[in-house]
Amino acid sequence: MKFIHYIKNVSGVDIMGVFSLLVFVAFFIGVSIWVFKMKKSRLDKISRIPIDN
Amino acid sequence: MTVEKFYYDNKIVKAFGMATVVFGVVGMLAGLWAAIQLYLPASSLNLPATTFGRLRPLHTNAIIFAFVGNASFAGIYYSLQRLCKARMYSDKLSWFHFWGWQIIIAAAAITLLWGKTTGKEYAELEWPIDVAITLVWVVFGINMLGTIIKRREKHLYVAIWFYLATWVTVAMLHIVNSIEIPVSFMKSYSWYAGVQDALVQWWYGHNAVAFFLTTPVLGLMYYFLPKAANRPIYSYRLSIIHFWALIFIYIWAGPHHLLYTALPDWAQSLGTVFSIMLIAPSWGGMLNGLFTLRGAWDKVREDPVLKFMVVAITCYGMATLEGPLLSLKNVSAIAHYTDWIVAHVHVGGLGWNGFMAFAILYYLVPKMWNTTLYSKKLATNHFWIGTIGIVLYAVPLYWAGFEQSLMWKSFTPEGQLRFQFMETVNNLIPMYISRSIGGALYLTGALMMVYNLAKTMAQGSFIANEAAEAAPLVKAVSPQKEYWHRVIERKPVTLLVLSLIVVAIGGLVEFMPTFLVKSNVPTISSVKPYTPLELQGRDIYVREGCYVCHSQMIRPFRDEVARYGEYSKAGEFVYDHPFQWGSKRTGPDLAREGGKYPDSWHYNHMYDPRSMSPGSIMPQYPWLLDNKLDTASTPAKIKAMITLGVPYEKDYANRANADLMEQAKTIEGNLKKDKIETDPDMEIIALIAYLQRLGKDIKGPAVTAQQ
Repeated sequence: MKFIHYIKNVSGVDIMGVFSLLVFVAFFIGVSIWVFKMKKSRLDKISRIPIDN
Repeated sequence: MTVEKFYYDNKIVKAFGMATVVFGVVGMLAGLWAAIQLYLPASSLNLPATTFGRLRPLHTNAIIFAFVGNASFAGIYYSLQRLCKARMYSDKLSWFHFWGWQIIIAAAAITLLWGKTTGKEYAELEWPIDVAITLVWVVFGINMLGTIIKRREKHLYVAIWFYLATWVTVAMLHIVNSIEIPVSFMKSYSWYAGVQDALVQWWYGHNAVAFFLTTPVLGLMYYFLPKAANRPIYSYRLSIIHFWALIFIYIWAGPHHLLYTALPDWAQSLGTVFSIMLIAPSWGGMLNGLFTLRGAWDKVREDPVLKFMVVAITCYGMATLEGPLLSLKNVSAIAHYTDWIVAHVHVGGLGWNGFMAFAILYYLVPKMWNTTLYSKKLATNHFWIGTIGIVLYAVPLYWAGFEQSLMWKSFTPEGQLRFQFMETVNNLIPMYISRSIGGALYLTGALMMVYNLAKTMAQGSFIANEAAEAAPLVKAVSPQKEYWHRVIERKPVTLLVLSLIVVAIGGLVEFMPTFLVKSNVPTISSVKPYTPLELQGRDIYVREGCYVCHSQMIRPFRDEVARYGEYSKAGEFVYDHPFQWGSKRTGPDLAREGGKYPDSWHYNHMYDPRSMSPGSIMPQYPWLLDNKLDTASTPAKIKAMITLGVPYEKDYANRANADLMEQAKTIEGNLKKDKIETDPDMEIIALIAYLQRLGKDIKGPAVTAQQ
């Protein structure tokens, strides 16, 4: 009586796995594009905020 | 442009800093005392309040919420004002937050030692305190957002992102995990039962580590490390990826606390995959911290603040590599329920959290008292004694965990278990002694810091309001359309909402199928609700913190089935509000304890465990033999259970006590046969009833599943 037998009967549970992977990949690519499009000068400026105070 | 003059509020930072020191010492003392009880059971003093099952929750709560919590607040109140070039939004709210939090801590200390607990690890506090936490947390959020909104600095530095994500996620975790139905002023039952309760609890438990012990402290690292090293963070790009990837992935990892349990396989695998993925952002953060010091390692030799930070960040890296490895099912099979996990947690707790807190205190006190540190040498000695303490603490426990697990799983050539449980415990005693020495050294270091900081304060003069100047923020009029990321960077509320969405996705995806389970899992027909006496006994089990040392979850391994019996099924826990699977086997698993020993064995064992099991390290519970059972609470408890969907008959609440007495008299009769005289309405009777029930539901031959 393994629990997995019942969870397999939950309709569409396999979708959850695929969904989570896709969401993460899309999210990660989005963040990476954002970060690498940022200008170096701006990044330098922001990163100096703690020191200049 | 006109320059505005304003003052930073140092007084609130001082207050949180003082609280950090006080509760740090108290929390460590509680931990040391609990650690000593593992090899000197008599040091529990045979008092309910000072027994391991109540002291350990006090230790964990004090360290997490009082020590690290106050340290984070001190650091946040200091850095946020400076990063925003603004005083805190409202002094009144600051002080409401401070006193509110300290009252909660005091209430926690009293209620935990008093035995008022929900029985869910790191969420033990009862419902009135849960409500108070929510209130104080909201005030903290308003104060923080208010400060950010009236800031004089255009950009939100990454540390602030970490603070905001901490705030919004802890709010979500606390509320979802604390949904409970009050039975009386200091007693409630978790809304969830069994598998669902376990999933919600470890989604919370894991992310309490992530969002209470990690993200705020990472925010502090991104502020105080550049400050102490006087150079910007190595890569600001990396810090952004670190932030988003970390908060996204962390929330999914909770199920790795439940590998090989009755949790759906699917959710377990998800927990493993995301835990492995966590290595990337965590190590990104660690390397970002360590690379910041490139070319400045000479400073590390001089400055105790940097010394503490380097070891803290290294421990962060070690713990965040080890955590994902522990999430692999084959590693978890060895490590789970053993002292390995305790060692792992303390590398994070003592190394990362403790050392970061010390570093920040050593940084803040001289700055705010406008002086230099009283003794650098003493601080360096603190650093070394603390580091040696961590090693002496962790190494023996790693050894203990590994060795005990191997002993548990060892079979003779004839196919019998090679070791009794007791043999595997007694083998650990030297390791337990060494760990408490390590802990004592670490505490000694902390006391040296107290002296050093007190002397520093005495030689300086406190600047309650630190003057600063900055130009006000003019509303930016941008000629062209702004990039969306620039918008996020400047708008705290947008950032807050985005963070919430990011952390909510993981929780939702994990919970949905598991909550569908209720209608899809066949209940096991022989699993029945607890009798009133068993329910009362279960509450005593929760009250005494038995779950701290005993699991109720037999994993499907040959050795566990041979030692404890048939492995646990999800359907067995449908009436367990809260679940009591436990996370550590200092003592044996109790999932199939029912019927293993006669009632009189349990009676004598509770009075003095060593009389029944020579060599046992379990505390004595003599008060259970003297305390009268509170039967007046039975109807309310049954009613609450009915509300939660436990199938008692509608009017059962009124009849429950009659059934309770009947069952109690049977046990009294059993005890009498073994020459033990006791009244039937004693707490020990209820506890025996509960222990004798455990795992019996499916012990019968005819176990059928109903669709």
